[in-house]
Amino acid sequence: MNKFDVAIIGGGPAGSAAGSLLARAGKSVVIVEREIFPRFHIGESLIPFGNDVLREMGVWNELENSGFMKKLGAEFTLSNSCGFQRFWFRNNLGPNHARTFQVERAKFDSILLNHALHSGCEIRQPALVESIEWSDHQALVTIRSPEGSEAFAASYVIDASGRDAWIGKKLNLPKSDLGLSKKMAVFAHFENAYRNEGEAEGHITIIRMEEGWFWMIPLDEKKTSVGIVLNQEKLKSCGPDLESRFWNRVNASSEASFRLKNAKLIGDFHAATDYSYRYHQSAGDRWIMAGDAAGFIDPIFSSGVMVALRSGRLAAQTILAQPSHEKLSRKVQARYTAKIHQMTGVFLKMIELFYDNDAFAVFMNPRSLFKLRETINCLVAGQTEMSFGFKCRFQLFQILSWLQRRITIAPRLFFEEPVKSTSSAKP
Amino acid sequence: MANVSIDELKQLLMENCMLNIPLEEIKEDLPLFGPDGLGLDSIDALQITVALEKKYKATIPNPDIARQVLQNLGSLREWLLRQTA
Repeated sequence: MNKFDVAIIGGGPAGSAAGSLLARAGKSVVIVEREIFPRFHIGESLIPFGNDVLREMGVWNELENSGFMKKLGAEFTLSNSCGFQRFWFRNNLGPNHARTFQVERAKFDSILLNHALHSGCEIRQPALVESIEWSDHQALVTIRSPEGSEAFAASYVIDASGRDAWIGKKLNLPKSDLGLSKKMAVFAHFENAYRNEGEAEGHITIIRMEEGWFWMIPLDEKKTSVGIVLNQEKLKSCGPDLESRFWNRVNASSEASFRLKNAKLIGDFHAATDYSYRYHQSAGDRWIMAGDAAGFIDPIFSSGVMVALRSGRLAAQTILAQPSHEKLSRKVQARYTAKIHQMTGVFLKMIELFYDNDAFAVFMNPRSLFKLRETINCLVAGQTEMSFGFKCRFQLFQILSWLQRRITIAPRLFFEEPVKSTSSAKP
Repeated sequence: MANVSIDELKQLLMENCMLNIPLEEIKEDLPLFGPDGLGLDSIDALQITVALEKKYKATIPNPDIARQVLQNLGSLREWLLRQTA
């Protein structure tokens, strides 16, 4: 029977990152991917703190030459076009984090998995993991592919199966919904959507409605990904099907209408229900969860791929630090879990603030006082490992947001659509 | 309106407000009001509002919207672009 050092469930960014790094360090790795690539996937905007991992994997240069849209920052605007904040990563971050990419995941994930293959990983695709038997010294993995069944042993298993959360579900592990309400996203790709000028053409645009938000992600020269996220019930009440719900909300926002005025739909509308969750434990004796398999959080800050890459790297580092095939000790498991929770915890706090209209008012009026603007920029870029000063300023932002609910420090935000003036501005 | 440049908005500021810093130092994300920004006051706000009506035929409907629109030159420019689009 084949024996690998590490078996990885899932060939998305988390699996490819962990696989590439482990194989490059001399481990034998097999990645089991269910789907044939390229395939559609949501989560198209990267943030700069994932760059380090892509560089370490050795795939950065290839990404540079693959025609992905360069993302130099993010902008937030209100649904009525009144209120606008544009952030440039380079204003507060070093050259390694000054920009990143917007990616069509079909292409991006293929490049990463292919890179894992060239780094020395074996790939089984398309193949499903059927069962895993855990013993004291290894895991016995059985997979099924169109060619039939295969069984192999592995010292460790990394679960990078995304929201399928293979191990979490199979072992029936406890998880939390993180106190976030159930949301639904409806999205599609468009041609000819409005583009910012100059270097801001690759910015992600977040349009904040009173409840919920739009994303606009320029993927390449022509294609723009547009999606709306709203409470499930609320969105369902906007129309009988995905398309009517989407346009109902677009028409209610002058900013979204403006940006989609000449846009042409490519392909179909998709939907995703977003149940945020996080497993209490992200590692066990012989397994580690990475990416969405460990937890999925609201996508507003484009954290998904970055968390996948960073947790993939952390999983690889954890295994590489193990003395010859030993079980992960309780201490190692706890440390890994704590790091994953810390990473997602920062985003969770920001997500709470984003959905709170008072806190968001502070966000949309970042005074230069106490470097609040810089702090927000670093958070938007995905800096989750905080220096002491940075931590203080993040705390200050939260305190200001709390104060805002009681006394108005930043002017409250107005989402009302201005009444359309009947007299045109043109003579 | 095809385009509104930050420079032409700076010009508008200069013509209508008492500025105490050189034009080059006004970045598009510098807050126009308040002690940590350009330090404009309510008279300046009124002047700008009138100037916008005159030059671009763009009316800011109420003070709450004005606060959001006139936050900085970037927000003003984006809003103006959409008024005649």
